[in-house]
Amino acid sequence: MISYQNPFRYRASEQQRDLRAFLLGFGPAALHMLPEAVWDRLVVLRSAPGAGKTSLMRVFTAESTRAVIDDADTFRDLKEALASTGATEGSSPAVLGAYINLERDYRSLIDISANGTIAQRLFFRLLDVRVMLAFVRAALVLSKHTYPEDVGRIVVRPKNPDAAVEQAARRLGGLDGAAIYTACAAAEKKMLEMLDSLLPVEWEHEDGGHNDLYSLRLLSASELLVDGHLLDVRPLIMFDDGHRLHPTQRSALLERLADRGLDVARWYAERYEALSRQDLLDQVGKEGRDLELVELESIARGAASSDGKARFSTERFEKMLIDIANRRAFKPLSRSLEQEHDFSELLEFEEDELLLDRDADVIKVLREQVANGDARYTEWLQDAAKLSGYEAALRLRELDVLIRRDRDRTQTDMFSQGLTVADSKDRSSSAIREAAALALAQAHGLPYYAGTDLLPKLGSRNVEQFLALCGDLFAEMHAEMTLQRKPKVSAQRQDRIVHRASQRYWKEILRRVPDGHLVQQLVLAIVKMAEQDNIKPTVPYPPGVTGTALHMSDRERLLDPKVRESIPGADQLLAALSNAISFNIVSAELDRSVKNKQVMVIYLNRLLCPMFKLPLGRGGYREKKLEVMAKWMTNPIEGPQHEAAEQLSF
Amino acid sequence: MKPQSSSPSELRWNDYVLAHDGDGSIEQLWQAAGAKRRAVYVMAEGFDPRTITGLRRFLASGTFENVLIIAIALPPTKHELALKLAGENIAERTALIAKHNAQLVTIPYPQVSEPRAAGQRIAHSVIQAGHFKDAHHIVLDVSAMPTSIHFALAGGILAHCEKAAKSQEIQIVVCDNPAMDAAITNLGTAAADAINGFTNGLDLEAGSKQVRIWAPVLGPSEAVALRAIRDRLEAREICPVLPFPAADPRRGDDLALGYRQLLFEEMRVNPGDIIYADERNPFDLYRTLSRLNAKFTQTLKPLGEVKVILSAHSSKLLSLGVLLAAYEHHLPVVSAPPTGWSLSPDFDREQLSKHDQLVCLWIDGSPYR
Repeated sequence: MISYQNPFRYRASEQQRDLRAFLLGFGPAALHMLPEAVWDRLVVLRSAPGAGKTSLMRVFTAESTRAVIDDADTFRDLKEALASTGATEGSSPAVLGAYINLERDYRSLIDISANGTIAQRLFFRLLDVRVMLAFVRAALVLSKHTYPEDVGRIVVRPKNPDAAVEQAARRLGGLDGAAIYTACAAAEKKMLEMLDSLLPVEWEHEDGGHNDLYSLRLLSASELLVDGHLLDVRPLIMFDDGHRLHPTQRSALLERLADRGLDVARWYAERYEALSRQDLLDQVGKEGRDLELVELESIARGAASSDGKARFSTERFEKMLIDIANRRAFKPLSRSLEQEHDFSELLEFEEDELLLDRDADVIKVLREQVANGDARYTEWLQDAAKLSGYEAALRLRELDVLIRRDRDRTQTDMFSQGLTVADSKDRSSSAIREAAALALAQAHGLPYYAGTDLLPKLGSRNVEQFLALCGDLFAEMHAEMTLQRKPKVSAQRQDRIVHRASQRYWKEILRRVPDGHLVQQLVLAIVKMAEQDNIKPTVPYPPGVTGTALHMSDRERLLDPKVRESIPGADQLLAALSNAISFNIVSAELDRSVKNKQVMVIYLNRLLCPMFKLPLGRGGYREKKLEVMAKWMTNPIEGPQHEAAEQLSF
Repeated sequence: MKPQSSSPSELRWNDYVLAHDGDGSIEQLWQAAGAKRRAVYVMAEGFDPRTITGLRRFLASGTFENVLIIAIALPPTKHELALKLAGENIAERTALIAKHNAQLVTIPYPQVSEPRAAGQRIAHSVIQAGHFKDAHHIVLDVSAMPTSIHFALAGGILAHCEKAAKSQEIQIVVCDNPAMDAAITNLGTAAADAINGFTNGLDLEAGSKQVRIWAPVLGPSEAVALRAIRDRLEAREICPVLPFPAADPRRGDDLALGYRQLLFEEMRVNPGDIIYADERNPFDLYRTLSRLNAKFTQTLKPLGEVKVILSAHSSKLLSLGVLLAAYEHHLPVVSAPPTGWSLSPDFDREQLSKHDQLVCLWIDGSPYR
């Protein structure tokens, strides 16, 4: 018996450590989510955790560009994608990418002293020395040298004599690589030791800080020499996890990064939070001129960016997810099947498989249900009778909806004419068919959540979530392969695996998400509201309600502590919504225009839909007033596996 | 930085003093450490019924004439049951203080931006206030303290007493009660990061060639926290610690089984890398972790700077082994703490408290001189 590794189950640590595995599993199409202007201004990347910010940045690090260029045959499509962004030129890197994680130590600086000025000066000092160390390391990687042994090979040379640049260099150890390394490493070590001290530290007596990002000023006005030769690359400093900074640190950093006087590419990534003042980037600069805002989920759904153009589409994003999964599983599948097989191929099935060999029974029941002797629908039913298998079943279920809708519309018109097949097509839509397919599956106990069209939707525009689901599916393939059988996963098995993943996702909310019990309460309230509409046989909001919406003015009120004081449940609603958005339990889309109103649309994470028998399409939502939503939080709803234990919030 | 101890005889706590409930030996340790001398008893002020168990016994032992109680306030709550339980603890403490003529100082919970910094801030403020200055005997009762607080406090007290060199006696008391642990469920998970005071060079940009070995001490229902830490650390090797021997001999196996996907598929742990430590003896875990650190530091040295990183997901008692190893060898300790707790619907303080088992570790002072 041969044992196989599940390539989706070691995504984090293994992938991060093994650069080659990371690059092989990266979908180059993701680079097309970036705007054109990424090198001359601040780029702000935002998404829910797991949507791919860090991976996107990691592809631009010196380690990655070096590896892609050095092994161009293996990474041909990634090399082309990098070249299209301008990160490489021919067989040379054009960008020197250095990665800085902002979740490390910075926020603790706020707590060291009551004096905010000292904390801010130390923040910039620590950030500066880390930028320089990361830059030196990236320069050595790009020029195929060893860090830190070869730091002496590097020289930073000012392009023109400038007192400000000289001052910046002095603060960072000088212009020579070895001096920069020595000074910055010592400064970093000293600051971290003080920050970590178990005994009291007198920070007020320390004079190591400063109030600007000198590193970016120095790099903007300088060239990089390695062994005396000019390395003609543009520095790119990537700051990740900005949401871990204190708000004052975040705004101070963004203000400096937005400075158009800088000649260094700088990217800043943070978690998307629709219920904070995060959106107030106006104070930093104008989008499209001073900065580019890249909201990954928004781009994935095909929303237009600041220039009014859509860079991506939902279909393209879902194809990209499938491509990533295929890349990830390629090796283990090829090894076990001894021929090239795509992971997605093993999830494909004939549509009729969805009827579980019960075609005759299911279609008979549906025909009896739809047949009503009304001559008005004769042509529709005759047309449907020509079909067979799943196609027939789905069509009959769809006609059931259309006939009910028609009757509601024409009940007073007893002498109306018969309807044509063309009429049925005009009156139907993909959303109605989706609702019909789900209703068909639920009524007859058939699988629904399966296949390469639906599975990417369950990722909820989140790469990590989709890959975790692929891990569950691969585990099934794994069992088959171990038994030397073809690892094809039937529609029924896929549906069961998806349901299990959905239940696990729901259950984990309590342990994974702060105020998880409130988040579950919010989800249950949305589900209950959705069920009231989805149960109607005419499907008034096809494919079904899976979300809610809050008027933007109500959103403003929710953010106001005084308003919250006056509305029972508003505090809990804010906690539930903000945590649900931060942890991708719901998605929030700001400023959607609906009937001359601006609303924040809130959709449930698609992985919750199977658990609550909801469709995966994002068409339907019902707008609710703030007071109504707040009331959801004060009237708990009993739900599946809803744990009633109260939370002590510390 | 101190040199790494490589052999058992060089370990600070290779020989140790530990007492478990049941035979009166805990009272004997208190007697031996500081009879008729000034004592400081540091404890938490919270809802956990174990808050008061140690103090009740300590004062009743009648060993001390002059006791200062330092009560560390925990983050405020509006929860009625928590307030009620905390109120009961405070009422009993007030009565004990009056009965035994002790003094009380309350340390407010600091306003911090980074919750992991709270323990360090508390340690600094207690030390700066000079509360340990004239104390001969210091007892730190960690029973109701979150990890981020008791690690920094214990570390701070040890560091302060070493620096002051006044031959003080330091003991740690913990009320172990698995039934109570089971009745309090962790909710939510904060981002994984090092505990302030135990960062120990984890994220030095200058040391980015660091070879990381992660030793999580496993306990139940911690999969979310373990995943968060795994993603944060990107460790090269993972050596999970399972409790064995344990009161329930199957406990280690059950944990391994419960975490099989996480350990063996996601983290690709080599079964040979699993290590075991006595569930009831934190010094055993300390020695195991010390050996692990010495082994990896030596063998992987050619690859770069080796960092053995610890995290405690187990009982409070076993977490003390992590604390001692991290303190002595300057190892980073990472946590992804819960953001809240819930009490089981049938929470019964009286019934649960019957399972309280006090344990006392003597960590500095006369036995080690």
